[in-house]
Amino acid sequence: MASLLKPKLGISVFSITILILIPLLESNFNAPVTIKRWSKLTWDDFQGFVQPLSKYEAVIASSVYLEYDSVHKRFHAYAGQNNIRSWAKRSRPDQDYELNHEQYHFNITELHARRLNHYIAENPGGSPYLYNLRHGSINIDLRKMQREYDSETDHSLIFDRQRRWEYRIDSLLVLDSGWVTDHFSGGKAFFPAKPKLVKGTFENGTMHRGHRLSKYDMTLALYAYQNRNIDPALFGVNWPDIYANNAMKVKSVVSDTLEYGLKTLIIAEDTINYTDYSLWVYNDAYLYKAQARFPNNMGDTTGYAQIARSFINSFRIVDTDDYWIAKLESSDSPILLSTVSNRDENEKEQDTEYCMHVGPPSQPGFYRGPFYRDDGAMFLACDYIVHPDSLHYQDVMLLNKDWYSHTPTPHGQIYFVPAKNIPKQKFDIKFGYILLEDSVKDCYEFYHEKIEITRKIHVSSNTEL
Amino acid sequence: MAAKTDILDSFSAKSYFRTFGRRDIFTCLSLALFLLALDETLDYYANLDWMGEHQNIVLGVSGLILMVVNHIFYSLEHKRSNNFVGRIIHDCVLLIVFMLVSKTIGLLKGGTLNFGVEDVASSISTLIQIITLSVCLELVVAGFRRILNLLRWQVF
Repeated sequence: MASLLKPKLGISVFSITILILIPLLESNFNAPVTIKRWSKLTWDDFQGFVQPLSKYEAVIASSVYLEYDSVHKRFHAYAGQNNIRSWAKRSRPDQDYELNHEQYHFNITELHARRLNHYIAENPGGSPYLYNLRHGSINIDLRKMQREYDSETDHSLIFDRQRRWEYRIDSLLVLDSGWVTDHFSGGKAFFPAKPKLVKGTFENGTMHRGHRLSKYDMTLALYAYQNRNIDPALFGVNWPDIYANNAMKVKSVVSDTLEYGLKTLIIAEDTINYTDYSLWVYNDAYLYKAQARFPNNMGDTTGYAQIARSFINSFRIVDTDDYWIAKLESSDSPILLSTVSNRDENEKEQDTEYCMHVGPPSQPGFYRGPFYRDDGAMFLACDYIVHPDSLHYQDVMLLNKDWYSHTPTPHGQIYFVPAKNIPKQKFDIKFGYILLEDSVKDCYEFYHEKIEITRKIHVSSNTEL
Repeated sequence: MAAKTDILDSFSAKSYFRTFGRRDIFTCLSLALFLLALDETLDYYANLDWMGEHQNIVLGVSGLILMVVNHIFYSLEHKRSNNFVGRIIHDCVLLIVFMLVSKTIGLLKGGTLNFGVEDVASSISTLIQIITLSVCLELVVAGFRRILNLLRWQVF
């Protein structure tokens, strides 16, 4: 009889060695395990033993955990990262970029934890068996999405797809809170992360407000421009010059005049290897630009272009009049009404509060309006202008001899005129501010904008101020 | 009469139990340990792209190969091939040893010893499942053996 004792002993010893060694490697020789809840990762969160023969630079182990909250008496799911099962090699040339890739694995786990929580919220009082069943199916979806993420990005090696996935995951995590509306112009777009507000005035007097996000190697921005002295409709004729003056080569122009007088998507490239997608829209009040800008010298740019189109397509214009009306109605800040008269230098001072110098208009800020409530009251929303070296003392509107003064706010001012005080014929209003530094002078300087109004609304009722 | 005897021999377990001993159990034990080690390794490398999708297939095919290896070892040690029923019983022994070793390792890792049986009925049910699985797998192995015989390469 052939004796196979030695081969069988060899197989057994080898197998037992593997069965002992692998758990030790997985637990990093019994190092303490920490389950980190969803948050920003650092390389310190990767404490595992590096997997032998692995071609990857780092691996994260994250799962959806389901626990019972005895305080609120309900089940709750959360995304957790196991520090011992997650490992990273020491030699990592692009540390932030790779950590970012692992962060989005964690973000995908968080997304699925939220889905499970959503299911729990829709099915309150369910049995643990029901929730565990759903937990199981969500884990299957989670593993599938994680594999897709790694497969499509080739473990972060394909930059544009990596950024596309980041945009997608961020969008799914922020959901409706990603919609950003500029309440002055009504421009609205979807930003997967919080953008930065930018505003100012160009040399030619054009005022602008914008929201800008720099992420995914890209710049995503929504701007609105306002200049009563320039006809924005001319842009449609002048755009070749505008782009040429900015050293940009236009690749494509697509116009659509069904919805607005001007709606043009221009794709251009500049001289520093950036592609620019800009959607220009003009609606008789403001000129809008939804812009996506990305590098075109990093290989395939399909992913970036997809992000650009997704962002551009999210742009819309909404009516924000009701927003301002509701805001003023809920405000308890007083509006003081006074009257003004011309001051004669030769006369002695009469019973006056202070002196005001009304100079020429100086375009104090981006504004919306005027617009009217159902009862005929007039509103005008004006952005706060930061004046160098001084704060606002008062925000003021002057209509004929009626002087409406408001407490300044950093988020912009809502000027209000009750219906009974609005002239029936064409009139003009001046709105702006007085600076604090001027309050010690004999006469305040009234920095203001002046607009002419031809009233078209029929007043149906009167409202007391 | 010789053909009829051959068929009857295939369904007799006498020759198997006559030579059944510690060698056969040790063979099953070593192969069960190997399969568990393979499962552990596949699990450890589950993050590899192709592994994640094909882990179960690899494990299943490996199990089937080890069942064939089990029969090869039997053939080498006993200097004769096992008959059909004997192979089924040998497969059952392998499956039972695999289950016992797997549960023991689970217990050593800090888990609980739970075979998923609560009473006599569920125990019998589990046993029937093991036998049914063995029969199904053995039919596959028998087909494979037939092919090897046709190729004049009888390894077990």
